[in-house]
Amino acid sequence: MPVDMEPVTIVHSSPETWAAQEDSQLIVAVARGDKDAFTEIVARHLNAVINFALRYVGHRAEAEDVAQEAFIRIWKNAAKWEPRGFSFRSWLYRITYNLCIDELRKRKPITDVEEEELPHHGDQPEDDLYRDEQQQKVTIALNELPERQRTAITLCVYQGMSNRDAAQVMEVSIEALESLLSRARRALRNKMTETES
Amino acid sequence: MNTNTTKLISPERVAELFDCYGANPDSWPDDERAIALALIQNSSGLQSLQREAEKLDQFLVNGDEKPETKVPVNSKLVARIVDHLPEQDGTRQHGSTSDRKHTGHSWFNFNGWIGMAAASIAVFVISVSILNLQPSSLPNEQPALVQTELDEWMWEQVTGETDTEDEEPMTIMALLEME
Repeated sequence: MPVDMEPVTIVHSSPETWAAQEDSQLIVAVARGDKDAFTEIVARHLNAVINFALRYVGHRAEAEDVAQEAFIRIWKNAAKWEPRGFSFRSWLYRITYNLCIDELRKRKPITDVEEEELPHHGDQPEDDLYRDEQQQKVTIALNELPERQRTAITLCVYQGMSNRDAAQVMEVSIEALESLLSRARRALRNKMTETES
Repeated sequence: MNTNTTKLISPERVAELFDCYGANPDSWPDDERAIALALIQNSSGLQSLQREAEKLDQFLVNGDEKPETKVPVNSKLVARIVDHLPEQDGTRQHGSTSDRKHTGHSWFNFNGWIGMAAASIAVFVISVSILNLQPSSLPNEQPALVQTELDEWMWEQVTGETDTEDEEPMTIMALLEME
């Protein structure tokens, strides 16, 4: 998505036509109080935001609460969003990230991903069991990373963000983001080697 | 992110790209991708580094959500969010006075005027109370309690004399009584 694009003002749009619009166009309508445009934005990003929050707060219900609060803040402050040099997605994730950090500060130590979220191993085929085991190993390795390194990896690897967007979410320079990514990958490589051996 | 610019990069930078973004060229910055791919094609050392980076990428992919567990958007949660929206901050208005009537920031805000009137009355009542209290609180035995520079200045204006230390200090009220 081009981040420097000026938003296009759309006078009349139905819920169906919102689906074809870019985030930057939708948010302009949201700023005018358009609930259909807002619903489209929520539907578009909700799962990804919940999954992102889940990596921090560890419980699905709490991740949903964080996501809800993030979208409410988007709604309230939509008029303040400036498209220049800042994608809507970066803004949404920055809000979510800050909410997650606030949540983690409230409760220490950091909770691991909840047990009940992990699949039940009862009648699963061996391939699935192996994959679940691998997923758990990665989750543990990620959780052992310092928070900033984990966030850099989460944004770039799992949320598929560009380096520029990820740097904006974390409010760091691209060089600083690369430093975090590089250190994180080095630590993860060591973990991977440990688990392999 | 589509940019038309291409950055000239060194083989060392390509190794950094593997370190930071992994082996997948789609994850690399747009302006470095083309040159990086060209350098990799001509370097067995870089190809080897890319294979190493791929292993870690594969390990990390295991930590991603499995495709079959990807759930559709929870419409109940969407409804919960959309149905409980608060008022927006600084909604983009288009400048009509009829819009402004509802913002609560009008000069003719009734509550604001009530507050100002109440404050004015309070100031008036307090002022009157102070004036009424002053004579009784000024016993002649202790005139120095209320002597101020203003008293001295008024004494000079009325009598043309400067106040001296050995004289009994006069107060505003004393001056008024004299008149």
